Amino acid sequence: MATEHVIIGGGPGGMNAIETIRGYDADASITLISDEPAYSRMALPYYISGNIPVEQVNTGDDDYFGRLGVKTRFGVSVSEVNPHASMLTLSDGSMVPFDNLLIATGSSAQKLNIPGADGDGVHNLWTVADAEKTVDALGSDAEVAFIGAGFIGFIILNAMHKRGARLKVIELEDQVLPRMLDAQGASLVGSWLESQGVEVHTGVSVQAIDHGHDGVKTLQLSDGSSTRADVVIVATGIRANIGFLAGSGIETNEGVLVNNRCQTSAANVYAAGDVAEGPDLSTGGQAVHAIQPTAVDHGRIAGANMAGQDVEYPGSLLINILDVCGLQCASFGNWSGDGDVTEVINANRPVYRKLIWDGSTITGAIMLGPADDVAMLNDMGMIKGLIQAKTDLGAWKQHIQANPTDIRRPYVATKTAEKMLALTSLGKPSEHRSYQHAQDAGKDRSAHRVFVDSTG
Amino acid sequence: MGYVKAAELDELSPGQMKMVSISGKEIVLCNVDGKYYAADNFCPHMGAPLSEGELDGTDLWCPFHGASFDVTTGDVLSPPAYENLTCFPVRVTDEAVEIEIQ
Repeated sequence: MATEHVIIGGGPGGMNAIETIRGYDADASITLISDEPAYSRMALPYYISGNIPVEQVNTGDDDYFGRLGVKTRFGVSVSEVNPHASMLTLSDGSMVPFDNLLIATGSSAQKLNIPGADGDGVHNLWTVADAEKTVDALGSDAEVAFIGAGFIGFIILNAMHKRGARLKVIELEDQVLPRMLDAQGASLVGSWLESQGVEVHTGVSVQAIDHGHDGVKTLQLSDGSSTRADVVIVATGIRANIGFLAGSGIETNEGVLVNNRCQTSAANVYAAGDVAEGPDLSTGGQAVHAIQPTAVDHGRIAGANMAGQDVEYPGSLLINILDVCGLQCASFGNWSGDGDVTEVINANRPVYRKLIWDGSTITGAIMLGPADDVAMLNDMGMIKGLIQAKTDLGAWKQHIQANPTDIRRPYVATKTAEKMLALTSLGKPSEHRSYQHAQDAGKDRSAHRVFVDSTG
Repeated sequence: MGYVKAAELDELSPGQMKMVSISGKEIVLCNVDGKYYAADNFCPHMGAPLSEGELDGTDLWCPFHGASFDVTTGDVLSPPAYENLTCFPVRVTDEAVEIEIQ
């Protein structure tokens, strides 16, 4: 009998697992259960900025799932998981049996618990429905206030900036991007934002949101001042969606704990993406890395193992890469480490580069510079590679300390590109992905038809 | 500009890729099961150098956010990128792998 694979969640973790399972096993039964349609949250900013129509946010339609042979149950959620009986209970009361289960339920934006936070025009901007509401509410010259100056808030801020909205940011901590940049980098970003006409308030909280009759909102701040906005975006953090696992016996911490095969404490249950707390490449411990590249990796690793392969994951690398209104900002791995560091700073451009060393290996980095600086983007890719491959730079360390912008020579000399190829997630020859190749032959895409059709 | 040498004949094994810079243009050259394909080296999402990503069969994965492309056509396969890659013709002569630049 065909193996019954059930996937909960149609984000990048779930979708990559589905494609990987199908690539290995043409006969397996695959069911996708999702309370939302399959779409890319990472693509929402391009809808908000007006670059793509809302349909192009979708990552799979009926035709796509039909060709992949995936049964879909949209609009229902899972209320209970019983790994011993290999059975799910759904929100509509129906029961779904499984041989292998993937939990890819992602995370949710935290709600703000202050007066006025549930009024009109205050959004988390987390779902496609939130995005549509916000875009409808955005007139020309709208004033938009962001509560929280973190990674996700700034992705949306950048999209709003492209629309020409007037922007302000209110952050509880003393700096912007507190979980992505050190104080030095954050200070450069703060000044950059102000030069782009964005108002920045740090070290203050919002106490209440007063809703005026004309739709204008007044945010009361903890320092006694107030500021106005037409739209308020709440971006104060996210939490893994694990509530439905209570009583299942599946071990959780901040997320669902998984081993290096993306397998949970129940052998027939896997987890991937924002909801999973998996091996951290930098620390050797466990971490939730709620970022797209980790979701993609997790999905592919979990999918391969669910399909009967035995693929191990070296761990996810914390990667934050963000375009802040034309200033490219990145941090990798152990970016908050101190001690042995190499730094370059030019506050005028602004450019900032900080490399964190452990012996002659780079374990973390922060990089800031113009978003159109091709050389810097290349360096970002190579520095990320040096960290991910844990390349011992040996004598090249001195060279980098003296020439922190010459990364290519050490990168090539230490054969880091080859090391990266050996590290590729599945580490399997391409013939295993026969399904995709077969589709390629007929030029009938297996992957994300909606996406391709609208762009091609 | 015509065909320009991009790699030695034995330089890239199947599954390998490299960035080549030809008159200021950065291109990723990929060896997929012995056939060569060339495309823009920059992910249209955020400009990441694709040569530092992952080549898995015909799929080229971006190192920054995991967008993927079919290197044989340039088609975007998965978000967050939403635009296709520009591809370049490649030929293998008796002496080298060459990319055609307009």
